[in-house]
Amino acid sequence: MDIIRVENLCVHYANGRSSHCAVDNLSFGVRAGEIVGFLGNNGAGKSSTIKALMGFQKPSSGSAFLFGENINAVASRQRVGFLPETALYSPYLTPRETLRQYGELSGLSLSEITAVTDAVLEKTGVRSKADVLNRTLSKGMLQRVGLAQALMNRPELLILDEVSSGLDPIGRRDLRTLLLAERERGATIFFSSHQLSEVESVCDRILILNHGRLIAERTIKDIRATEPSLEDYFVRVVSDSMSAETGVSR
Amino acid sequence: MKQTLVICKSLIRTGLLETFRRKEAWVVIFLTILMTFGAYTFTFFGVSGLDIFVKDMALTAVGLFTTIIGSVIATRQIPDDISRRTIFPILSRPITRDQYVVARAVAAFVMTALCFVMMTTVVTLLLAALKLTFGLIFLQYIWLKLMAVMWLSAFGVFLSVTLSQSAAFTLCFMLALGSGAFSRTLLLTVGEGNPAVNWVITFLYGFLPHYALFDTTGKVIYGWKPIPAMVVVSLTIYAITISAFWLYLATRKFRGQSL
Repeated sequence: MDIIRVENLCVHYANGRSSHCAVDNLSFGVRAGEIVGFLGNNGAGKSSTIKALMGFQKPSSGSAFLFGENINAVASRQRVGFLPETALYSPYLTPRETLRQYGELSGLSLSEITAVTDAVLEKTGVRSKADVLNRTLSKGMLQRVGLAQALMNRPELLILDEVSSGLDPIGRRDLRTLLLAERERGATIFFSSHQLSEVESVCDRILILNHGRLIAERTIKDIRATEPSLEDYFVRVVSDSMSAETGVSR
Repeated sequence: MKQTLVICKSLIRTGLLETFRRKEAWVVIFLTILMTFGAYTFTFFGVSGLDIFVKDMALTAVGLFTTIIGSVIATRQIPDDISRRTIFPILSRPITRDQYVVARAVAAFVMTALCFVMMTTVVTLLLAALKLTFGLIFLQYIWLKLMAVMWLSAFGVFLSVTLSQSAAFTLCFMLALGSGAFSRTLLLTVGEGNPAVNWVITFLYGFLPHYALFDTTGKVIYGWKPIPAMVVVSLTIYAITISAFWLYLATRKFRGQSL
């Protein structure tokens, strides 16, 4: 069963009289237990797709489903953990208080929150800073708090936007370990990232987007067998797509 | 309903922590004490009969700071979440946008109400220490002020999903403070023009906020008897109805908004 199903999704942004197409007729699926990397240049439409999946942006046309439920249904988000791109969690709360808030919003009881919080803080490496105000934390530490809030409800699906943003090399290594551990637990993971080495080391499959269109969909195993590296493959595919578009427009 | 209450509780708890850690509440309480005590210092120079002046100064400070802090809190709730991008993890939970808007408005109401109650308590204790007391009407003053805060919170949240944060604050604050003047002007104008104009003025009078209706400061400081219960009940119904109206508009506006 597809945990994520996107069918002919289009997202347009109106800008005065003109309209910008961020996602153009996009279709793909993510199966249970997979780790899928969502790649593309800046402005390729990754965040717009993720926003549409989470119900933050209304699709212009097409449809999307999480766990078989239409994304417009609140129930579709029941088993999802979401990390937005660089969120600045309340500067006047501590990570522990932040996690309690997101636990409550997820519908967890206080005893469940207490039980989960320490484990999640440990897992994301925030335990030593659990009781200091968020405003004293570094960007990387705030990103770890973001990851922690996404894990609070023991999600079956993790959707992570620019997950490695702000993380140092040790943070990125910890992230890889965390993502693999979450997959071991049974979670499905769908994330966007510009860190291709990280994508290559944890993903089963990648989707590459350019100008809102899906231009490649391959397994990492396949890429490893036929290409020098994911980076080479990514650059070649995106360049080819851009050249083709330029050719068409000419 | 139960889920909305859970969301309200969570947002109120974190909102209160933020309000007190930002020190805004302490600042307004300190300023209120300063203004009240400042007015009382005139008695040190031999000026007598200043009871009404001191009470007026104290309640004016409480009213003004409640309006300021209420406008600030209500108009920043949702814009803060959007600018910090914390709205995404919040709305990624199984909660609807309507629940979120209502919870934010309730949180704004509770935070402002708590600041108001704290200011009022401090002022009452301070005045009591200076041997100045209020009559029974003071209880009605507190209740009606809380109703006004409810209106202010709903209106502020509506403005914040419609305008930019700074524009929302300015408009909310101006309409709250100037509502009395607007209403009086409209009442003076009605009956002067033709029926069509009168109809427009009547509509405007009904549509414009009437924050000043809830203000009984003058009656409290001059020691009036309590106002009839029917008036208090009518104003309570009006406050609930108008707050529900602004919240309905806010949820409608926010429902289809791209984030």
